[in-house]
Order: sequence, then structure tokens, then C-alpha cells
Amino acid sequence: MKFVLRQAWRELRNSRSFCFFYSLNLALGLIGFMVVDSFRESIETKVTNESKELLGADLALRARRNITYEELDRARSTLPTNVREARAVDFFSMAAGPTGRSRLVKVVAIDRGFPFHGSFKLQLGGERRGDEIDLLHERKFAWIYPEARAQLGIDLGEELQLGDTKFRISDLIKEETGLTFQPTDLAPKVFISRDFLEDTNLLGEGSLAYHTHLFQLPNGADLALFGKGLEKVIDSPEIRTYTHRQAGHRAGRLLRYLSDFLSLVSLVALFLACLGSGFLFHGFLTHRLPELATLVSLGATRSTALRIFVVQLFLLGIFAAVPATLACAIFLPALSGVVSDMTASNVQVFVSLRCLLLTFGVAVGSGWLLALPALGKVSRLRPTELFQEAARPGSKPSGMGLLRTLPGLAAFWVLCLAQAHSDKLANVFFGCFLGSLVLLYLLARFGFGIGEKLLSRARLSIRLAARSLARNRAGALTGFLAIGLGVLLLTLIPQTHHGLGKEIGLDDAAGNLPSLFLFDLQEEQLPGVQSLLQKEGAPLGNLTPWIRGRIKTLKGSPFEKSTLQEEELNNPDEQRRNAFRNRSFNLSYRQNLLESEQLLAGRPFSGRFDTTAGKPAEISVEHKYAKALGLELGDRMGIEVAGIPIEAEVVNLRRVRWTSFQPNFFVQMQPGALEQAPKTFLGTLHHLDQKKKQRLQDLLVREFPTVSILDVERTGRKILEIVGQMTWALQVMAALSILAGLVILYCVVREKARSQSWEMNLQKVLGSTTGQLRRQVWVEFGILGGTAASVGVCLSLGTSYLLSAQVFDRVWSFRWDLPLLVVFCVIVLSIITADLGARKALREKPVRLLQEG
Amino acid sequence: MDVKAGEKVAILGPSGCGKSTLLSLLAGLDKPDVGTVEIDGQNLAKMSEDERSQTRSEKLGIVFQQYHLMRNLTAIENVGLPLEILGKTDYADRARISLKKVGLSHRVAHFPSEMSGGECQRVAIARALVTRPSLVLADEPSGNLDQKTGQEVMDMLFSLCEEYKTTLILVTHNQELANRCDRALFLKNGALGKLNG
Repeated sequence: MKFVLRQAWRELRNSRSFCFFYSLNLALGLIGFMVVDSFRESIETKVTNESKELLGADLALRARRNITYEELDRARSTLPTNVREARAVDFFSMAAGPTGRSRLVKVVAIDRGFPFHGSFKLQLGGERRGDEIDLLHERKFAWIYPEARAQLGIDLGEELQLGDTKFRISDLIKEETGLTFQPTDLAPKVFISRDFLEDTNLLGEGSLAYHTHLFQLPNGADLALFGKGLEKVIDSPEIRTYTHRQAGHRAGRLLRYLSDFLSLVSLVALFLACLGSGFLFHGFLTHRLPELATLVSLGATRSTALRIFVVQLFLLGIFAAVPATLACAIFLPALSGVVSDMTASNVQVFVSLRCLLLTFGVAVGSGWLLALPALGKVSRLRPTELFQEAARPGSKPSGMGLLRTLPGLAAFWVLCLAQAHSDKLANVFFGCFLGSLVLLYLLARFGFGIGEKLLSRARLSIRLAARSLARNRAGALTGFLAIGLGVLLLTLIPQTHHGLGKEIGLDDAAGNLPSLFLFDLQEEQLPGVQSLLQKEGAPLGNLTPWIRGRIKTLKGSPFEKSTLQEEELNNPDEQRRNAFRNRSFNLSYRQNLLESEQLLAGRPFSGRFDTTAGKPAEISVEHKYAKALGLELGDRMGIEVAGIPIEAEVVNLRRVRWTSFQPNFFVQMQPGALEQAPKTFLGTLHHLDQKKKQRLQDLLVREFPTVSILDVERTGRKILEIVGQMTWALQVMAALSILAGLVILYCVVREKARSQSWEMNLQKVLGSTTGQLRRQVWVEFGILGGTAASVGVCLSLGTSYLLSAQVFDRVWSFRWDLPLLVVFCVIVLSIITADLGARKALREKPVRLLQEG
Repeated sequence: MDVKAGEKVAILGPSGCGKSTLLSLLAGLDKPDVGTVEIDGQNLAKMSEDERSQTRSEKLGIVFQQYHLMRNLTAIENVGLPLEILGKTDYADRARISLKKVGLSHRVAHFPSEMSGGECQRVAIARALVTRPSLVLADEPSGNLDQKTGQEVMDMLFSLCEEYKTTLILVTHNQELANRCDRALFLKNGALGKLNG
């Protein structure tokens, strides 16, 4: 072993420029990986912390009934011992002000300590975290939303009647956190202490109220793991388990997207780094094979030769990983400062131990795994070729090469599963990557040969370039694979980002946020309300009818019968989904989709409903709701509205961007069927400043006292803040991925150019001019980069489409400019890099080549 | 073919007649389909690959036409390599002595790329003889060199083999070199025959 170490070290020491080149290239790839992965980790931590504020806790149990002591004990048995707990009860109730004016409010009764994450921002009391709230729990005080002040005709210090007791208004809520299960509530909130809830006598037998039990876990606890544990022991379908990720299906879904997207980014960065290092190690081994043959001829065994190489791979990996780590440790904080300043989003980026270990693992392990096909050459090494004048030992191909890629591929699959948050994402990503690899291989394997024939009559430089690609098959193939896969990976992130950006609503999301939500608008009030608002310069937008319906039949069977008994369902997930199938639901009618909706399957409505045609009414169903009900295109649904049955047929499934804050419904019916049904309307008011908002509320309360008004800006802003963070994360990650990808591509092209310097020099010896050679290099690398990038971009589009279909709920939109830009950049980069790489060879004296020979 | 200890045998033959194959078999780099290859009474054909490697490191020295020096090792490191493979600790001293023997004391720390073809081949000869092998296989050692340098290199090889009483099997196209050997054999169509009695 001593000899192996000595020999490995000596060879590396004596070929400093060679080692420097490889280590530098590998270090660049690793830096790319570390930067992307560190940003990912930091952003995820930041967004996770903010999303915890939506729930106000780490985990929660929520039910429409009291959660029993037995159920709580079972839940506690799965959690660590030092868990903090708090309870909250929320329900709708009428409340009356001192003048006797009464309105629907949402009462939220909280325990001491709530919220565990986030805080209340009060008009008088300022910011109060859960632990800093005392008076609310000591006296019968209440905090209310500012809009309730006008609607109830109540002011600070006055008393609010809630059931059998009165609460003094001690503060107004500017912002609050926790229990955000939907972006909007249908009534202004009133916060009281749960200690005084009983005095109201509002919650009797059969009262509809949500009971939430919140948990705060010790720092560092695995929330996903405990969340799953909690779900397992809570077998009642009436109780939902929430992690901060699931608080509110709207923001929660986006958070899941972000989490999956960041996992994808991390996978891409990892694969890019591995691709780069694998390509470099492959080149290194090929370069070293003749010397290993010499070593064997001197009496060393093959295993000794192999061990020397493995040690060298290890050392080269370490040489690259150490400076990469140091560079990241020194420059990442500065970089994060610059990025934060540029994007006005504060994020502290640091290199975690996990990232560090992964970096060293990638640097050393990936090299071995990816070099396995090349390492096979050592076992096939035929030192007898040393006696032949022109032979290069180990250069003969073997059919076993593909088999030797299997351990590496298996290892990467395991890495994918470990790195991604979702197995599905990991599997789809890996499957696409593998498919692309095979396709690129086949294209390169046969494409260059065909290209050579097609270009056999072209100009000399083109002809020679095509010949070089076809004849230097091993080099062209690995270069084509590396560039193609690199382009696939680097385009994948911005392409996915584009689709997700559309979904999240990156384009001025805050600008579309309504200032006020008006509901309970009676049909006869509409002209008056509209004229009043028009006069005030605030036209009522998104006016939408709101009808309450009941599901009578599904696909021809009575709805009651289609609801399976709990014991028939296999797991809690199915049970919960069944519980979601509520008989009563809200619906509306509209001819066209809103901009926040997207048709996923089926066709638009055919027009107005014809009552004489004897056909069912057409409905459009939100795709997740359809899934919960088991509805597909063409299925029938029997709906009862105000005692009148309506037969409806699903003509399309649509996706709704819930963060749009537009009036969206799970079920939309075609116009003409529901116009006569009893209904109310809801609408939105936009772009109001605080003063105007207050003035309009006062006016509406005075003129139309039954109209309910809700300030959605407050909750909306909180959610949009998180959406903003996600947007920022998506953009930064996309930019970093492109950068890392281009660095890797630069390394690949540079290495390929370097490996061909001998051939170029030989052509020079044979009489080619420097100009001819340069043109040939440009053409060759232009073709190589252009074809590989074009195929890579197509594969990336396919992969991003598949990922969006499988992981991101079909969030996909084509971005035409990016593929063109990437192909152009890769061609230019290939040509410039190859030209720079070839310059050294072109400068060399031909006599040097003769000496080497 | 039997070669006695200390004997010098030349093998001649046209290109493609199997000279390289014969050398590979003798060096234990390849296994014969039929027949045996024995060195000091040990049958290479019956040995495992590792055993053949061991035999090669102990008993054989090889001089290639293309030198096949390790590009990243200095002259002394190249020469000391076989000793290191054998696990000898005094490899540096012995390599230095060996380099002195071939007249390259002044080139100890030079890399192959910094030396002329003749110097490289002398390093290769020093490497082949540094373990004092019982047999040296030489494949056209002067084939890549000009006549004068080739002559000097071959003089050195013959002289060192003489001094160390090393058996030499020399593959060459050069009739003059063949004449300097104890006997010469001619390889044609895979069969060896006497060239000059």
C-alpha cells in the first residue's frame, strides 16, 4: 500500500499543471453545486420559518368537534416530551356593538402562548409575540379587525356583545399570524381568550366550531417525521393533521411546489457537478492508461495499478473539494449579502455540514462511480500492445462498458431519493435523465457517422470537422453526452421556473390583490351598490353570483350511498378524502374562465343553457375537487338548488390559481341554468388606500347595512409575502443553475479541446495553416455544441413537461426565448472555449510533437 | 527455443511475423494457447496473472522501442520503479547507481520530456537492469534512434548484460546487431528457425 500511495502522490506531484487543470475544473463544478445547494437550504429554511407563521405552530390537529383527551394522549405519545401546546377555537357568530348593530364575525378564542411562531401587530400594543400576551387572558378583552369597528359601530374601550357576555375592545389588529387555513375568511375576526369562551355560551351541542390543537416541537425536530407519526395515530377522519406546509391548501400547495422545485434545483446542481467531475475523471483515466500498462509490464499487478488510480482519484477529488469549500465559506456570506441587497430579500446563506459532506462525497465518490466504465479499461488493459508501435493500450472498446455504468446509475438514483423531498419527484427526474442519456447516446453513436457522410462534399474545414467527430468517436460521444445533459439540466430549472411563475402569479401579484371583498350582496341591492361605488371612483369588480347547492347524485348513484363507510377505506388518507366530500357546496355560473383559471381537460361551455333541449347543464369542476369526488369528464352530477334538482354534466376540469384572490368556485355552471335560483353576489374593490377604504366601508355600512365587507389585503399580503419569497427563490435558483451549468459546460469543452490538441498539432505538422485549423476547431465545436444543445433543450422541454404533469399539477408553459438563447450561448461558448483551448496547441512547435512521438 | 543463462539471442523476422507476440509470451504479458514458457524452470503458462507479475518484477527486464517511460516521473524515479514494486527500500540509491552506469548521472532529476530519445532509451535500459534480472527482453531498442545514438545505446546494453551475466533476447531487424549476439533465430509464419548455423 505504501508503494501505491507513494506512486500515486509522486505522479500527481510531478504533473502539477495537469492536476491543477483537473482540480480547478472540478472545483468550479463543486462551487456551483455548493452555491446552489447552500442557497436552496437557506431559502428553504427562511420560507419554512415564514410559513410556520401561517399555522402559528409546527404541527396542529384540527377538527369540527372537540378533540378528546384520549386522542390527544395518543397524539402526544408520538411527539417528543418537551413539546409546547396551545388550543384555539374558531367559529362564526353574530356580534353586537354598543348601538345594537349586529354583524357576523369570526370568533377566535386562543390560549396563552398562541401563536408559537409569528406575532400580532396591534394598533396600540405594537408587536406582541404569543408569550407577551397577558391582559387578553386576564380580563374579558377582545381584539378586533379594523373593519369590524365601522361595521359594528364600535370603538376602542367600548363593549362587544358575544353570546351571553361582553368583551371590551382593547386593541385593533393590524396583522396577525396563525390558523391561516384559507387566504380569506368570510367575516372580520374577533380574538378573545379561550379562558372566557365558556361564558359566551355560544358553543353548545351541535354548534359548528373548529377546534385546533397546536404543538411547538423542540428546535431541530423533524417536522415531517413527527407529522407523519401524528397522522398515523389519529385515525379519525374528522381530525386533520397539519404541518406548516399544509396550513391552507393554497399557500401550502405553493410551498410544496417550492420545496419540490428547490429539491429539483439541488438535484440538478448535484447532477451537473457529477457530470462535470465524471467527464474529467474519464478523460484523466484515458490519458493515464498507457502508463498503467507500462507499470504492469514492469511487474506491478493490475490491482496495484488500479489502486494507484483510485488513490489518485481520491486525492484529485480532495484537491478540488478543499479549495471549493474554502472559497464558498469565504465568499458565500458576501454573495448572499449582494443577492439580498439586489433583491431586497434578506437571506443568510451558509455552508451546512450536510452540504459539505455531500460535496466531498460528490468530489470523490462520483468520480469513482462515473469512472467505472473507464476503470474497466484497467482490467482489459493489454500491456502486450506496448510492443506495438502505434497502439494505445486500453483504447479498445468493450461491450461491458454499459454494464459498468449500472452501479453509478444505481448510486445516483439513491442520491436522488435522498436529496429530493418526494420520491415521485426523484423517480420522475431520474427516469427522464436516464431516458435522455440513452437517447443522446444513440443519437451520438449513429448521428456523427451519418453527418460525416452527408458532409463528405462540404468545404475542407467542415469536412475535416465532421470526420473528426465521426472518427474520434469516444471523445465526441462523451462530449456530446456531457453537453447535452448539461444543457438539459441547466434549461430545466428556468423552464420549470417559468411554469411555476405563471402559477404563482409572479406578474404583479400584489397589484392584483383586492383591497376589499364584498359579499352577501342581494340582487336588488346591486344597482344601488354599483352606482354608489361608481360615484366614489371605485367600481365593483369580479361581480360573481354565489349559490348554495347540495349534491344529490354522483354518476347516477345517490350521493349518500357513494360515501363509503370509514371501515371500508384502507388508510387515513382515503378516509380524509371521503370526509372532504361534503354534501353542501358553493357554486356559481359564468361563461368564460378568469385569468386565474386554466382549462386542464375538456372543452369550454357551449353557450347558454337551453332548458328546452332536455340536455344536462354543463359544469366546470376544479380538478382537485373532481378528484376528491371521483368525477371525470362526461360524468353526471345531480345538484339540488333551493329544492329544485338540476342534472349536470362535467364538460371540463380546470385549475384555479387560488392566490389570485379572485372569486373562484369549485363548481361553475354554464349561464342560463341558475339565474333564477336564490343567490347573493360577491365582488371586489381594488387599489384603495387606507383612507378611501375606511370611507367606503362607512358609506356601505350606512347605506347597505346587510352587505358584509372584508379587508383581504391583510391576510393576502402575508400570503403574497411568502409567494414573493418563493418568486425570489425561483428566480435566484434559476439564475444560479444557469451559471453553474455554463461553468460545467465550459469545463467540458475545455477538456475536450485539450484532449484534441495532439491531433491539431499533427495536422499542423502535415501542412495545415493556423487559420485552417482554427476554422476547423470552430466548425467542429460549433457542430458539437449546437447539436448537443439543441437535443438537450428539446429533452429539457420534455422533462420539464413530464415533471410538471407528475409533480407540479400540470403547471407548465412553454418559454420560447430560453431554448434559443441557450443553444446560441452554448454554440458561442463551445467555439470560444475550444478556440482558447486550441491556442496552446496551435502555438506549440511541430518539433515538440515529433519529440513526443 | 532454449536460451541458456547469460546467452544473447537475436530474433529477426519481417513485420507481422509474430515477434511482438513472442515477446509478450516470454514476458508473461500473454498466455500461450499451447506449449510452455519457462524461466529458470518456472512455467509462466501455469501461473496466475499475479504470479506472472511477480516473476516479471523479479526475473525480467524489458526494453521497448518506444521507451515507455512514465511521463510524470523523473529519470531516477523511472529507474527506481521496478525496485519499488518489489518493495525494496534502497531503490533511490540503486537507481542512482544504475543511471550512473548508463552515463546519466547529470540527468537524475529530469523528466522524459526534457531528455533526448537516446537518453530516454538509456533510462529504459537502466530501468530494465536495475533489479539485476536473469533475462532482458529488448524490442528494437535502437529502432527509434539515429545510427550513432543507436550504436551507443546498443553498446551499452550489450556491455551491461555482459557485466551482469544477464540473458538477452533481442528482437531486431538489424543484421549487424544480430551478428553481435551468440546466435540469431528467424521467425517466419509463426515458426522459429536458425539464421546462420
